[in-house]
Amino acid sequence: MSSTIRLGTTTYSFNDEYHSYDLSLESMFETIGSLSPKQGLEIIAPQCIRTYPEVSEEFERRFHYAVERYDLVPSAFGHYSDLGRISGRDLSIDEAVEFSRIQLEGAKRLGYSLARMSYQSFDLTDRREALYRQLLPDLERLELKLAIEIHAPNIIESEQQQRVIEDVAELNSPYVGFTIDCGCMTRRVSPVCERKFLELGVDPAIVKRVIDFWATEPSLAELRAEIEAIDGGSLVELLATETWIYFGHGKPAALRAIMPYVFHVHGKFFRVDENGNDDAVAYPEIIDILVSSGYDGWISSEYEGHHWLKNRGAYAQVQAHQRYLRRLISESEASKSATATE
Amino acid sequence: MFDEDLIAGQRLTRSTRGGNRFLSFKIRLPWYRSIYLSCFDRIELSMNGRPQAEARIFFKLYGTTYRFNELTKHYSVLWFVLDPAELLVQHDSNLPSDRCEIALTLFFRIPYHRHVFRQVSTCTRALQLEERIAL
Repeated sequence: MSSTIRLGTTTYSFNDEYHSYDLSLESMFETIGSLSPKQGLEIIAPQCIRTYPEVSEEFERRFHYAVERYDLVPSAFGHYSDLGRISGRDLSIDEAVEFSRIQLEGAKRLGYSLARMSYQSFDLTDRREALYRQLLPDLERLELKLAIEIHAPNIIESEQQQRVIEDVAELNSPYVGFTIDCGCMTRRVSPVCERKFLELGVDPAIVKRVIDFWATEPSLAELRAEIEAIDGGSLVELLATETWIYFGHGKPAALRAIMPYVFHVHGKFFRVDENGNDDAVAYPEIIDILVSSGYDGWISSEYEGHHWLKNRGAYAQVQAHQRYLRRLISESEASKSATATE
Repeated sequence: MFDEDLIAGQRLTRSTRGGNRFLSFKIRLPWYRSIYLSCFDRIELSMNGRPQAEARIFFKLYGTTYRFNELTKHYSVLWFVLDPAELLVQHDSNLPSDRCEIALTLFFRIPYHRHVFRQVSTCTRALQLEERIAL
């Protein structure tokens, strides 16, 4: 594999094992390290750091020890703006900047050169006040990249997202770009989600109706109208809402135009099947674009099947996902070499 | 996300404090990451089918006890995702002496979703009453 794409995973993949105390913080790091040498380690800051948003000296010491011992490479620091932390109002710009600055300084001490900024971290009513613009002096001082996440139900093509993309392009800073979460480019609702609701007793005909309706790419208003029309109770409402939240309708082709600003990739997935293929996300097309664009950042495999499937099988799934990604990368490279020699 | 873990353990503890009687049990944060107490703005709790008034529910974390209906003030207190908390319910009537069916629904804001989504977590479990402990 000659591609410079690097593979890693995020602690989010191990939510179930961590929450249930099957894995401690250190054993989670050890597990991630066992996936391969130089495995990329992305952490969710408020999941791992007890003193969040601060990074304590104790955490810093434990983290560096784990990175060294388990042969990990810090890939992305999972930053959150938590603008809705205070009840009844959003954080002010000054409060938001300070809350982020604390995390970014902590990320740097941990050895990260990139922080993921969670989506809905700002609005663009006034571009000058966008949090990423306000943080630019800190990013330059720390030499830290901020990668704003594009995440379902948002998609690259949406009007709101396009405004942010335009603004980031205009800013033209090596320190402000995007994390693309592959869950915003899905081909179908994951069978893991579908099966869960069938097991909960939802009528198979209604499950099919909801999933077929998802395929029509409805707006939120249309989805709500359909939920009302079905009148199937809270589980049906939950199913419909989850299809809308988790499975984005974005087309991989839209990714190509923003590649100059893509700093990081979340390899969101819900299941790798028995044949070693992801069955929901448009990975073949996505990987093709990443390879042909010369992307040289990380793909953090982000397992989210645990939202529906509580079998604590994250390790095997992440391992299978990385095997799948390596295969796609190799195939894409081979295809490009063949085209070049024709 | 982790509804089945919302009620932690199997025990319901009776205690008295300042002449008031309480029943308490442990709960877990049913979410993948830590969040601030200010995000918790509503609770529904019934014991053996009897709804309990929010004003009589207290939340204990790291040695401090809060009225549940005042949690929204505490935006600097982070509930770390791995740490159990305790719910205390003030009660006047006599409850069954051995087991009690608890039905709990916790509503919370997702701090980074701002005003778009709320999380609702529900769990029902029969808990075994423990011996009374005098505080």
